[in-house]
Amino acid sequence: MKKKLVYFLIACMIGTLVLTAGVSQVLGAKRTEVEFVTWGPSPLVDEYFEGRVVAFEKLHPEIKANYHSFGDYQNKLIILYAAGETPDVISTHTLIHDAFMYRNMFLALDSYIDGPNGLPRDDFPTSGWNALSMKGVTYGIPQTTGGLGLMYNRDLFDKAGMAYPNESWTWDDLKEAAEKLTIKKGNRVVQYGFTQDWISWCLIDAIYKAGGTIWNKDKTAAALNSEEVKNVLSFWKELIDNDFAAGPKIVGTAATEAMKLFAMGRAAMMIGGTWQVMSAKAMSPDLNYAVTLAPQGKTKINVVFDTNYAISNQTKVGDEAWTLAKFLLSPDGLLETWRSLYNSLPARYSCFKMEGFKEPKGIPGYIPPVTEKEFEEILSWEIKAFQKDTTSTEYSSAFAINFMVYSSKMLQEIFIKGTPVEQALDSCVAEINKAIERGL
Amino acid sequence: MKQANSSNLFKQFKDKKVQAAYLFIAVPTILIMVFVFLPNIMGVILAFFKYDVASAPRFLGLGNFIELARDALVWHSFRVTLYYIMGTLPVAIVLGLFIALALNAKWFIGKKIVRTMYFFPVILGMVVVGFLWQWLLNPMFGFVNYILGEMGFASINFFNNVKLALPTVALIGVWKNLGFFIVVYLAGLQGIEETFYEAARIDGASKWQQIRYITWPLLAPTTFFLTVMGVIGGFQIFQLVYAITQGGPADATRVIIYDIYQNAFQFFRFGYGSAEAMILFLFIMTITLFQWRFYQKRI
Repeated sequence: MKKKLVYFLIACMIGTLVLTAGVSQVLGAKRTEVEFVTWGPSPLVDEYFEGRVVAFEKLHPEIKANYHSFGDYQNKLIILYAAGETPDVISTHTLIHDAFMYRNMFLALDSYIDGPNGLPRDDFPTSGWNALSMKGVTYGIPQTTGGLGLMYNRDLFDKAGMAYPNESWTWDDLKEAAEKLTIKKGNRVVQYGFTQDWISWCLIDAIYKAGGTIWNKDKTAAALNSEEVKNVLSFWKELIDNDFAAGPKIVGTAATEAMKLFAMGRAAMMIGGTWQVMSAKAMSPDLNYAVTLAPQGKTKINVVFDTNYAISNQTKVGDEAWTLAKFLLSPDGLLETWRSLYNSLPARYSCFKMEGFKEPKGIPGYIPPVTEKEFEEILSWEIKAFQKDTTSTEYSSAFAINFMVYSSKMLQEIFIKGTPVEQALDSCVAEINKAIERGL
Repeated sequence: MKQANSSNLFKQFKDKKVQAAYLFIAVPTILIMVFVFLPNIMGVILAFFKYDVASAPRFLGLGNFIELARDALVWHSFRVTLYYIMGTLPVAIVLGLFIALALNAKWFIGKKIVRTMYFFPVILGMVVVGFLWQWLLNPMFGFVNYILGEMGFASINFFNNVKLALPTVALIGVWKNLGFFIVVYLAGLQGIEETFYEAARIDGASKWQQIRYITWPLLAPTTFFLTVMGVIGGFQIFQLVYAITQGGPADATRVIIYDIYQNAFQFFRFGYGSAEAMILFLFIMTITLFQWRFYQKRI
């Protein structure tokens, strides 16, 4: 009796499995599955993208899009690639894109972009395409673009009776203002004139603004040991040594502490990324601040740090993956992303002119809407910064990650350990060039 | 003789209980083979190749090992890891023993609460511990610097000071693992028979003499176990460094696993990283064997 019952239960289980598989096969007979992945910085962003996937499936019922997100993004992508299981549509930023593209891990997209179901290249920044191409072949599409601006505390400027920074400011203007805005009590600095994240992102922007470069012409060697780069580092050192700026010994080398200092009103100015400018408001709602273009140097250039979409070269559903990527990159799609998250500008110029662009609505209950005044004061500079022909992604290279790692170390050597600028710079260049010699 | 053994085994295997036992063993064995043994073998093989995930592996022979020997950063990372172990293990052993002795004493009130308090950090994830201490030691808003400020001292940036970063990370490592040392020592102490102490007391031995000549020698197996675990754990330190300092400032906390991680996952040098891991494995094994021989003579 017992045996019969066991056999009956096993038969039931097998029957259920077969039936379920059969039914789902019938229902999903025409649906192709596309896997889509982002680095999911927060559950909120996940929720947002899950919503976008639902909207996509409504428009394309023949495709089932599965959204994934995970931390430790690059590591997991590498492991998934090694296993032959990379998701089809991959959200990247320039560094990840470089690492994967130069190892031929992405699908060439020119036939899609320039095909009948393609995208107008002109609507995207040239700098974006440059960073996503290798030997004239395009391996990604820009999604958002962002760079660095100068945030300033208006109350502290008013208190000092000084005019606010503007687009024509140079590094000398910044230094002069930082000096005036620094307040000391004895040996203790109670208010710093300036601060920033002392990491590679800020260095890259400063190098190109100063007319310098990271790489030689064909990007086969680091060209950092130039006068321009030395000038940037010496300028920063001067600001820190004179206490006009809160350096890495005060704010560390992680990309969070400088913002805390600024949000607390203990630093009058800060160079921050587009992804950071609104967070001062979240940290300190009463902070009276505005943002303008970062001070210009010899070259009128704004280095941009984009997020992009790419398609894995392991995909078996290239056409469907493209359909999803194109949907996510449609002006409506990008505008929706911008209006909800407003952390980086959409990488399509046409979005800037669309209705609602200047009214980010946030996500009810999570991200507050942006008022007209806030847009003008905190976000509007971004449009000026990311106009055609002013943006650059020249830092992008097969060895960009080596630059990021070794230049971060160099900044710590100079500003924490006290190594002379030239010595630290030479050793940084030597380490990057050693990596280049070794090859990919 | 061999034939007799194998026929015995065969006979045994006919027993259903033995079959069930093998079945039970089979599941974890397969899992260990697939998820531990096989990846390790793959790692050893990879150490002789150049492999970046995207392209097919290219055989280098001993190339990775030769480069390793010349890589100053690898040696630096080894040194930093050794400093970390030297800064954590003796402290954890001494503190662990003395706190365990206190907790084992009859006069100690609230043993369970104190034991739980000490053990609590052990169950916390390393990354959580990292963030917790980053917050506590924050130079601008941290509790520790607030107290220092109240006492009239200048604020200290513990993690962005080349001289302080490693000792601070080591101190956090001790805090995190001290509970484990205490619990193991407590177990060891409870295994020592009271009669030894009674005899010593009759002979007029002082408290210190009892610890020196009874407790410490009889705890030698426990100390051996903790030293071996401490050395292995010390060489494997990674998450704390990854969460707090990322090997900085200026490589001051660059431990060997962080170097392996950076080579493999940031620079896509999986062959080189595997070679480093293999050398690390051999190094740990050698040290453990030395420890084994050292303690064998004394236990």
